[in-house]
Amino acid sequence: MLKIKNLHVSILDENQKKKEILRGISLEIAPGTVHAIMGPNGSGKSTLANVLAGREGYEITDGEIKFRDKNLFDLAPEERATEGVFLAFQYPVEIPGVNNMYFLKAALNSLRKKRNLPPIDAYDFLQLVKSKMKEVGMDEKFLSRAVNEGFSGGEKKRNEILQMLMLEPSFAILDETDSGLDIDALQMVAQGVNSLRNTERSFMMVTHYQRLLNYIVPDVVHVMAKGKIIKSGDKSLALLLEEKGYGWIEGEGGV
Amino acid sequence: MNPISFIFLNGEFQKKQSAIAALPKEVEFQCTPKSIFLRFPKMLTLKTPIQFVFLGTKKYELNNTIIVEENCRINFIEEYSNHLDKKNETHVNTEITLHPHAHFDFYKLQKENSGSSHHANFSVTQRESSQLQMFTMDCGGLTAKHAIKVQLAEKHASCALHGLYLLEHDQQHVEHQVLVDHIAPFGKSAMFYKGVLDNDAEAKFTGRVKVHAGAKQSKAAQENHHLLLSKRAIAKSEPELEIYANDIQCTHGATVGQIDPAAIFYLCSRGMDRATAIDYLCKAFSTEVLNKIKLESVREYMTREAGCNVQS
Repeated sequence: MLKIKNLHVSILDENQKKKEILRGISLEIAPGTVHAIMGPNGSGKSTLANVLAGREGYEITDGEIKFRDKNLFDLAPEERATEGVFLAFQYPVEIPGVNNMYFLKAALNSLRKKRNLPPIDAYDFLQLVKSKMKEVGMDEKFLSRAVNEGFSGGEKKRNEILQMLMLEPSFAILDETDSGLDIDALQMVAQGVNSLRNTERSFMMVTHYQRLLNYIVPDVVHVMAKGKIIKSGDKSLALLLEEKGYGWIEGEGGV
Repeated sequence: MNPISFIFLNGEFQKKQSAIAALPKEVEFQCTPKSIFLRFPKMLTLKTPIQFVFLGTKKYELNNTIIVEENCRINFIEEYSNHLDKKNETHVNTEITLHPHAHFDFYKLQKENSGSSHHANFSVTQRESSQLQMFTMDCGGLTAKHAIKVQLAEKHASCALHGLYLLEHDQQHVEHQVLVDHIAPFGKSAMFYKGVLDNDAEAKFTGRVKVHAGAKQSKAAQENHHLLLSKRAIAKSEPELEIYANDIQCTHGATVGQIDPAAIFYLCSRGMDRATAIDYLCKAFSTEVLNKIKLESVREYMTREAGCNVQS
């Protein structure tokens, strides 16, 4: 489904100096699998997530990303979304003046349009969104609020998962969705992801902690450090990391 | 909205086209080709807004007086546009007096064509516990200048002055000079103006608050924000505070900026194309001011005129 080959990405730092963040990432994600990306702060995990979704401000200096048979770099963020890519933001953006329900409906309808489906019926939409809100434990009052405006950290993350459930992407990236969540919210996130898991849909979960992986059991765990994947393995790798810390693996990887 | 509508052509009252019969007879209305006089008598509450539509084909001048007596509740709309798409030059001076406990909501829509100019001087005197709500929207004209002066002359008077200017033409220029004079104690004033500027458009906003000695426990807030959609658009914002009293609260804030790229990315990442995302964000920016309009029918009307019907 997703093939990343030798990806090199740079940014301009505050002194306008080029700084390489990703230094040769290669990764393949098969349909129906869950990959966890772990690693210490500054290892490039979030950069990878943002580059996949198409955020501006990154310079791709080498490598390629194929999503199904398409070259991802040829697609604008909205085109990636219609192809089925979804990013649950680490820091969801507050958008004053844009109503949450309106936003969800507009997003859903723009995806439907690209798939040659008619706009969703207003009643059907309301039933759908209400049932999904129940799943993520969000009060219906959030529908009439502006997108993420004044939401607490946990409410914002729930709103991201709500959007994921509504849009049903074929490849979802969760960028530290677990950070700052209490145990109830964490279980809700896990439940949301697990309810969408099937043989076609893939996930990439960027996380610091092993904790989330108790609830969403990954097929593959990758450890990133200094812009590279230094080790990959099954779920037991996450447990080893929890026990020994990143220092152990960084030493072993010779970075 | 269904207001009681009066039509004026180059400042002259057009009786045949106006709903003069719908105006309650206790309202005093007089006019000459160069002036209008309106008086709302004590205790009058009008649920239906009164709308004056000014059409122009040439240069004209008007001197208007509006008196709102004690305990009145009035909604009043002024609309300026062109007739037969001719260019015009409007000069209008308006003096308003709000008597004790009067509530006056004044809405103004300037949508003259791109060859026209509009100059308005607006002077309000507010007596004890009177409340003024004012909303000015510019979505037309080549140049427009609004000089607004509000005197909170007696205690507990309050005014909320709001404005939205949507400028998209080259050389379009809109200027606001807003002055609130806090003369008496316990006065409250708020200014909230926003502008969206594209192409070569230019806007200037001067918000001046003067708190006189003796106007104790005055509260004045001022905000002015601009969204620039082009690199060539220019916005200037100048807050001026002159304070001669103790025990008061004054705040001000001004911004000039672009649409937040993070917000565009967020909307696009959910499947919205870039142009639609930018359009939503602009409308959302304007909606914040439009939502200050208290009367629902007028709010809907102005929102439509601003092209901001984003919320379904």
